[in-house]
Amino acid sequence: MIYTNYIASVLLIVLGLYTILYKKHIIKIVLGMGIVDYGINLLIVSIGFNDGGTAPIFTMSELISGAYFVDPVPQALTLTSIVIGACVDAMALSLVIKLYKQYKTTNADEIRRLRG
Amino acid sequence: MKFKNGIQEQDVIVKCAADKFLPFALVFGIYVILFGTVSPGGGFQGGVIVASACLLLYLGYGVRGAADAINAEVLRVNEAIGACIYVILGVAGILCGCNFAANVFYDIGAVGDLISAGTITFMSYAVGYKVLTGVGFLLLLMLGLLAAADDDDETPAGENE
Amino acid sequence: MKAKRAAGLVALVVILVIGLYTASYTYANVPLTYDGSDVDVTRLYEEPGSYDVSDPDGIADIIVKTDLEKTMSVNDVASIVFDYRGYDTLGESFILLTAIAGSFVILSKSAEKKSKGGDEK
Repeated sequence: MIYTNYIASVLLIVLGLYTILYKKHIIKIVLGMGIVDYGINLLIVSIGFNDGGTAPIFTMSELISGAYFVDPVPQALTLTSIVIGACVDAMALSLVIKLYKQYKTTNADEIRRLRG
Repeated sequence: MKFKNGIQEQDVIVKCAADKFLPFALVFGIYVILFGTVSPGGGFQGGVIVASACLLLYLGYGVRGAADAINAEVLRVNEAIGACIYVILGVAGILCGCNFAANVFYDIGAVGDLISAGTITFMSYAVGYKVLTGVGFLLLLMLGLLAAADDDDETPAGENE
Repeated sequence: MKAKRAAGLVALVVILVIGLYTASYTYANVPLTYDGSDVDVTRLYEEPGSYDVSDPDGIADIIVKTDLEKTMSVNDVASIVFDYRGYDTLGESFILLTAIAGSFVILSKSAEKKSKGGDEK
């Protein structure tokens, strides 16, 4: 429960949505999709936090008597979500490369005409 | 752009820095994979650190240098082998009567050793190997498009490759 | 076109206001998901079977207390990802395979030569 992390994740999600809707360069649209993913991951990790807790790993050289753990379950589920975000970005950038070779421009308004 | 034995070379400072940092990236990445159950880290994190060695090769030696040093077909085949090993270790739990990824030989070593927790350690190695080869192949694929663009610019006879 | 842009901006502002209000309300009223201050981890490390799980506080409570004697792994997060929820990691491995196979198909050179040969006819 960190207050500034919640505010920052909401700001990141809204910023990503604004970039997807209002920008014309296709690489900027792909970057906006990535920013929405990062905002959601930050929100999931910050939910399970105690004040004064340490990382949930039993290494005896660093634990002092009286230490307690934070919640380990949201951290394990965020690992999967990060990998999914990276894979979506990779495929979207491959499509951007093929679009540029076919249309020779990076303005999203001129790509809308389907040829055929 | 200077050429030496057909490999395009960059500036001296960039090449020197890539030479010095490449062993650190490889050793640190393999350390994070191996000690997955003892210290923070695991399979996914270590695999991405080792795959950054491809980027260091590209920065120091250009596209031709990176493509000649690493064989992309071997990386593509080994990624599927890593996925198959993970599935086989998961099915080992079903063959012993429990659910999918059950820990069937968890009392091999003491707490805190390197090979301590049965199937968790080996599954972490399999996933680390898969991420290592997969992300390295993806980076080489995207950087290989720059070689085609460079060759089109500088060969006036228009020879294909 | 001006009306569409204005409507989009109004929608974004409404989402922002609702999000900030929800974040403040969650911080003030919703309790912690796992309050682990009643578990002494040094004693748990020396005698792994010394806590009882008859009245647990949630799933995280059971996992922290019984992890050392069931799996003998020091890293809690790795044992959750590969042992308790190994099925999710299988799905994630296949997402990696699909993304890399899809990129390879899109960016290969033989597809470009076939389409150029078809256009010239």
